[in-house]
Amino acid sequence: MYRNLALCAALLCCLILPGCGGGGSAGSNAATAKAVTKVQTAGLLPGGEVLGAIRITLGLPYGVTVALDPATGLPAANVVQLVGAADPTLVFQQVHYLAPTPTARGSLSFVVVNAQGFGALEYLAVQLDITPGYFPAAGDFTVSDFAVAGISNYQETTISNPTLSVEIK
Amino acid sequence: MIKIIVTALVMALIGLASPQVGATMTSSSYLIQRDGVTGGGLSPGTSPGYTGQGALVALPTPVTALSSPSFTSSQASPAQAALDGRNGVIDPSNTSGVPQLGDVLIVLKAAVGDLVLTPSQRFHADVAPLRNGRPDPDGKVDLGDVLLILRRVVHLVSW
Repeated sequence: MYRNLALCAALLCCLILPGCGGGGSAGSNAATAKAVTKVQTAGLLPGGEVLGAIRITLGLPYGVTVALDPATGLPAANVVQLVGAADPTLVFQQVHYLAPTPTARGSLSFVVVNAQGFGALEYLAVQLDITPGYFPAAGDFTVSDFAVAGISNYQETTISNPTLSVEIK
Repeated sequence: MIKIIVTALVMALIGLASPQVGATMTSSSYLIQRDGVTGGGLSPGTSPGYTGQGALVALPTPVTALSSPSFTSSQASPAQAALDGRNGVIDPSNTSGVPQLGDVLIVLKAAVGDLVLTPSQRFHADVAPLRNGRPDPDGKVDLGDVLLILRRVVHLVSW
């Protein structure tokens, strides 16, 4: 009897253990993880020009998604936040999410406009969900179509070497 | 009464003699220039042309019969278009003539590809950058236009 129970336990361990492991692959981690991407807005334009608009497309690794508003099916209001805005009523944003497919990773494109211009301490925080069993690394996130415009010249400028911080929680 | 009939006849003659005036226009912005036109107080040559949007072309007043009416049209350059009344109003429900929040939201959606602007909307949305306080359109609708229209809506800038 005890021998049979021990055998069953050993078999169960063999089934479960291989599921734990490496980055980027599916596993059995039941905890829901978050990834927070931060984009600094200061110093992106030369000559002290104050930033007023920013557009970014984030390439998301497999297993990384965004929270959707159940009523609309669109990204939830808190997915992209301008942290530290002096007057949030003058900040407008539009977010476009492309869910991953078996052949293509997901992406999140957004434009954030601050009529007063972004303050030196303001930054964009993007809240992302990590599907249980996936373990993306910071380097798996990509940035493209990174452009900004200043509140004096109103000209779109492409940022060629964007820096992005990704925090996995 | 006779004066009205004569005026109507003159206008009809102008219409018959000017087949190109009613030609189909496919662009949203044209520069109309005189081409060998005489009469009506005009002389051919170097006088400034007339700008118009779509089929709305401003002709000199008073309009009188022209001896050899002929017009050529070409697309206006961005600098010329700056003078033709583009105003940042792209929401069809906005009839105020000045941009409002709805216009900002439309151009914001277009900026991330959520919708495609019509040619007319693109025309009116292309207001940035500003030169000497006036729109100096650069031929594209981008972040600069979104920002400029928003700042006008909240009265941080005007033109």
